[in-house]
Amino acid sequence: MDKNMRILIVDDFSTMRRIVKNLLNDLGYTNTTEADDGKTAWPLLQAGGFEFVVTDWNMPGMTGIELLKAIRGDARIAKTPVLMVTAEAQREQIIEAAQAGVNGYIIKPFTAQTLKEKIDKIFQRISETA
Amino acid sequence: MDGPIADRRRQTAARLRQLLAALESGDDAAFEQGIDALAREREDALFARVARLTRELHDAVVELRVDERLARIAGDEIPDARHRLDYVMQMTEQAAHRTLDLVEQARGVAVGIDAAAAHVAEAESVIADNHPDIGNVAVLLQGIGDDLRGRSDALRGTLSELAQAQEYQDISGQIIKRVIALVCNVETALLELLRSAGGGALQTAPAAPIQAKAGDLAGPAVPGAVAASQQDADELLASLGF
Repeated sequence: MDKNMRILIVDDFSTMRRIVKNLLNDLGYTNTTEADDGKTAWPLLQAGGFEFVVTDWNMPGMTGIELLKAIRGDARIAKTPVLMVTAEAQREQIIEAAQAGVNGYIIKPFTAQTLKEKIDKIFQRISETA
Repeated sequence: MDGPIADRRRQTAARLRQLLAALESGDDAAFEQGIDALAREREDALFARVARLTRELHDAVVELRVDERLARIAGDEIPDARHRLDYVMQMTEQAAHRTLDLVEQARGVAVGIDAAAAHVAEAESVIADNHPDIGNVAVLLQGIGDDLRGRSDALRGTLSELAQAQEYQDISGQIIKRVIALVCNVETALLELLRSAGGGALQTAPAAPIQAKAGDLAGPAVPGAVAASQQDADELLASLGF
């Protein structure tokens, strides 16, 4: 997988964005952009060029699940893989995210290892189905 | 004219007629007894009215106090708690950023150590030479030693700052404890208000947490709450074909 792919990190907490960004850097992904909720993320995604989205769920303005649904509903960017990184840990929510077409689901607090595993799995699946 | 007042009038008139009859017939004992009974009844009614007024006054005073307390809680203490929690948010955010800054600083030290290791490799290659320039090796080694000592000083400084950056836990913990105490006060005052308003059998603790509104998220799981672990989430997604 392309370590230079453009990744959008969406989270309303700046510290969390920084942590995710640092972890991604450690994994070799350095081409990251940040947005503080779905509303800010949406125009960035519309402008195109993002190959991967890591998003929180619970955010003001536009939540992660709304962002995911919006992405899946827009033919131009519908195939962008989305990894949800969230503190929401109810079964119904995980199922809702799955039904909305999420590619991976990480429950906060999480480890660097979990992040790596999920990203590897997402891109392995994509390369298998490609 | 009907109704309880008319009834009472008729009853009183009948009894007065009985009393008059007893007086005129010279039945003094019956007359005395009748007069006493009439007086006692009037006293009892008066006592009952006084008792009711007393109870109403008492309830009003109790309610007034609870109202005062609730007014104080709503007017001063809750805005104060909100202000304190805002401060906790700010403080924890700042501490997290400070920690992340220091971690980045420490990463820089690691890069420097890598550079020192490269210099060691350089010294090794000089030594491996057929005619090693020992003087050059000595200079290289001294440079490496100085460099590493400087870096370990920097790392020690960073680590002690990292430890200091955790101070927020003490302060935020104390603030949160005060807010918990306030929440307890609000709970007690509300329960008292409900009781004084005649809310019969009240439980001191709800049997189940307040239901979230539809669309509200559960938020971060706390110990004891039903929530999925990462493993549960993985299994669930796997069962859904992920």
